[in-house]
Amino acid sequence: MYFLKELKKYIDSLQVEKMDKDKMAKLAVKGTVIMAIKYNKGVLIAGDMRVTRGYDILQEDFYKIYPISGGKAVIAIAGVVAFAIKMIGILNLEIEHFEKREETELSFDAQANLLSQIVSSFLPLVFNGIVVAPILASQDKIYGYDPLGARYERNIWITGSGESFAQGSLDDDWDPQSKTKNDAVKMAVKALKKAQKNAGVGPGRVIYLIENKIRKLTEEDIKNITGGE
Amino acid sequence: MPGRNNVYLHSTEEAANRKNAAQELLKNAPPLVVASIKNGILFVGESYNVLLRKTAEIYDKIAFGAIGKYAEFNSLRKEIIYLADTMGYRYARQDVTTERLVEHLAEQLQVAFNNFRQMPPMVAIILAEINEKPEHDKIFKVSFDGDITSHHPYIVVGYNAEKIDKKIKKLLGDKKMSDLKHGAAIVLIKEAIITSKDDSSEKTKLEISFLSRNKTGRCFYRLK
Repeated sequence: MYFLKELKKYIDSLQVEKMDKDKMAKLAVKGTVIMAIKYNKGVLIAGDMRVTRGYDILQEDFYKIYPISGGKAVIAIAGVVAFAIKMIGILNLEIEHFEKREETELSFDAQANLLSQIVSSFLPLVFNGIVVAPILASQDKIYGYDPLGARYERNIWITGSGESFAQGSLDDDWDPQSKTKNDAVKMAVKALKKAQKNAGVGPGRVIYLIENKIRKLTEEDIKNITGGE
Repeated sequence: MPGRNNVYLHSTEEAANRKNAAQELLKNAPPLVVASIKNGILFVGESYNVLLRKTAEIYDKIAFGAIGKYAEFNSLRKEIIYLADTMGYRYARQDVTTERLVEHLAEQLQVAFNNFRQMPPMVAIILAEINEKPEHDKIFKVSFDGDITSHHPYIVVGYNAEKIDKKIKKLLGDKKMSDLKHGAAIVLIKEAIITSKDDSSEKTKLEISFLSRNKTGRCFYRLK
């Protein structure tokens, strides 16, 4: 918690009372659908690549998934891009600083707790339409966050504006012990496709697998698994 | 009044006394060798306590080594890690330079040394940075009074430093330090440290860490 204080100072200096919610909604650049799915050997984390501002599409090749410093976890971001990137920066900084200062690793639960504190320190902004809801995942755990900073440990977690469309193609009785990597990839691809019914979700996709190592699936890998979809 | 004059010391005299005290302690500290070699920078130090580490990571390509009082150099280590991380976050990762960190250290030590109400700081700190080629490596030493010196290709500090330095030169012969890889360099430095001990039957415990030239990102790791 060495840099969190400075983050709080920064947020206090923003003069939240003077912000105009409607203007903010038009200005804010937003990313849309992300999900994490647990399977027998690890965790899949996926998202689309579109960012929007108001009714405009800004980018179709934006990455919403980033490996976190320390090599244990991956973060996916949905919501206002500017603040989401700031969160990732602070989280990485804190983890790296802790590792060097104390000469030990920071456990995944501690990282999740830290992210929770970072998200909740953005609370004054939430009421002005600036909402960030990340997902943090390691090899055997998924933590989904709500914009107020609460975290939930689940087998499947999905957030973003395409959420309600994608929800239908996710298996309610998903049992991570009996499902393989291929099952998870197939379900994620299907859900991403469904989510495209929302105008905020683009056709691009990024899928990361967190097993013993963290690796990004290429488009070819995805097509091999799903049979050309 | 007689006797009063004996109590009063001129500040230069006082400084000389403090310098002596610090030098005395540092001369008896377990030795540390920092050498720029073919595939990185090597830190080999004699250390009797695993908890009291004298080498540490500072930033991507920068590492730290120190002798003297642990509590003193450890707080300085934390301070410059904070400085480096803040700079890396505000600007960019490649903007964190050893020179800036050395400057900060020198400032802190100089102020502490000139404060005559406290004990003088009794540390010697080495900061090293790897570059793409061994001849561009940087090794800086900051002494207890804030003096900065630059050394290449290696530096020895601590107990019997001169003796170890001579031994290393002898063992190297015609070879250059920058031609050695870490395996050979560790063997060489280890031998130099062990053979220049007063009592050679004594068991030597070493702390070895390495800044690797072949890695990207954070390059520091411990070998022992």
